[in-house]
Amino acid sequence: MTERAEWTESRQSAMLPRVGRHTRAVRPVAVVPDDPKDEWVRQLYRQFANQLSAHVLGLTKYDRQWTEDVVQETFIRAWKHADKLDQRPEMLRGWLFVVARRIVIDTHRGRQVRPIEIRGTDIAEDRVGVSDKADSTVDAIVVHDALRRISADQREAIIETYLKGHTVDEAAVLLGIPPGTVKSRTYHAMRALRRALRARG
Amino acid sequence: MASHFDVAAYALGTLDARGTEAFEGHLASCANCQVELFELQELPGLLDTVAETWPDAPVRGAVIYGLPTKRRRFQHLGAATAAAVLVFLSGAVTAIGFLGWDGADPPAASEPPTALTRLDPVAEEPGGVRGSLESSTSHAWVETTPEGSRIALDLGGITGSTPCSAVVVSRAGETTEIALFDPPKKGERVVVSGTTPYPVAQIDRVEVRRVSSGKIITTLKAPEK
Repeated sequence: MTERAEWTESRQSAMLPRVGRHTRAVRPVAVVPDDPKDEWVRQLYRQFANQLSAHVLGLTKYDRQWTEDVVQETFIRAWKHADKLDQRPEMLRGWLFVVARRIVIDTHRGRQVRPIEIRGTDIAEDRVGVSDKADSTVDAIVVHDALRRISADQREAIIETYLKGHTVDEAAVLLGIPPGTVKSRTYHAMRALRRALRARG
Repeated sequence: MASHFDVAAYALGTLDARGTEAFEGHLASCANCQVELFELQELPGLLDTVAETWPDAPVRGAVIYGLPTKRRRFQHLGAATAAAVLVFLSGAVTAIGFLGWDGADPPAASEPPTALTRLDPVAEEPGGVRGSLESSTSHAWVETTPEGSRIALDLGGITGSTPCSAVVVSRAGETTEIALFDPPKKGERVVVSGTTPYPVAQIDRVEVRRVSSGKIITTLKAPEK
């Protein structure tokens, strides 16, 4: 959290174009040495911010404030993983896009309180626009059927985590199995659901 | 330490903050996981739909007829709930007809879904469910797509041991095979789906045939209006 706070504080100078001396002055002079990661993330931002913003705008249904928050959080996480990130442009771009999608979904949950009873016609609006396929009832039927057909262990992993809203670790305690087993069962379940979707016409 | 298996939990958002950060570190240099995330990204949205009605199938109202468990539930619905179901049906989901069942399993005479057949059709919209078709043991859902339509069949009463095919017959008499499948174990159901080039209004019937002999095992067809 400390890292993040520091980074956020210096964001004005790190990521936004410098428009005047006052912008630079918000940062204490000569107290924090220039971190190489700051320069790296500045370059990353210059290279990918426009593409990423356009991508995220689509996911947030053109909510500009939300998009800005997601893009900022994505670059904060990139900064944290600066030393691990594969520097090839396609890998950087891929990482930024999938992480931003994850942040959109997570922040969407926080932004909206789900009503207890949802009218059928409201369901599509309740969903974040992160899946083009989510509007397809037939796809949902295929997934529903595939979920019924996978092994009981795999189904249980999906139900206890995603459907019931538990984390992997919480589900592991509830099921009395190691977290790694929950993750591997979830993985095999998701692959099976994906295969079922591919197999449909 | 994050591993490849974490990719599914990450796609679903079920890792805690520490697990998420660890996986994002792994993802930083793992091209396979990046590709897998793109492949899995449609599933959370579909699971959201499934979760709405789980363990029942994700088309409410339209699904209530048919399976024995749902039939029992429907009988307990109050008038207000039934009216709400009909409002729902007249919006996003409108039944275009009621398919008869010509196979070995007779339709349940006690509950003809006359309310469904009286609904006015809605304007065709890609992605909208246009047909909710059923018999006492089987259902079909028909959905408009930009290229034509997509059909999902939930079939009961399919027996035997040799492969079957589901064939869509248009009103003009043209046929398109949408799925090949093995009959399920005795007493089990089978779900198949596929796409057709026909708009929903041009679909006359769906035939389930034995591949080896071409014999029609059962026919799902729209009623005379």
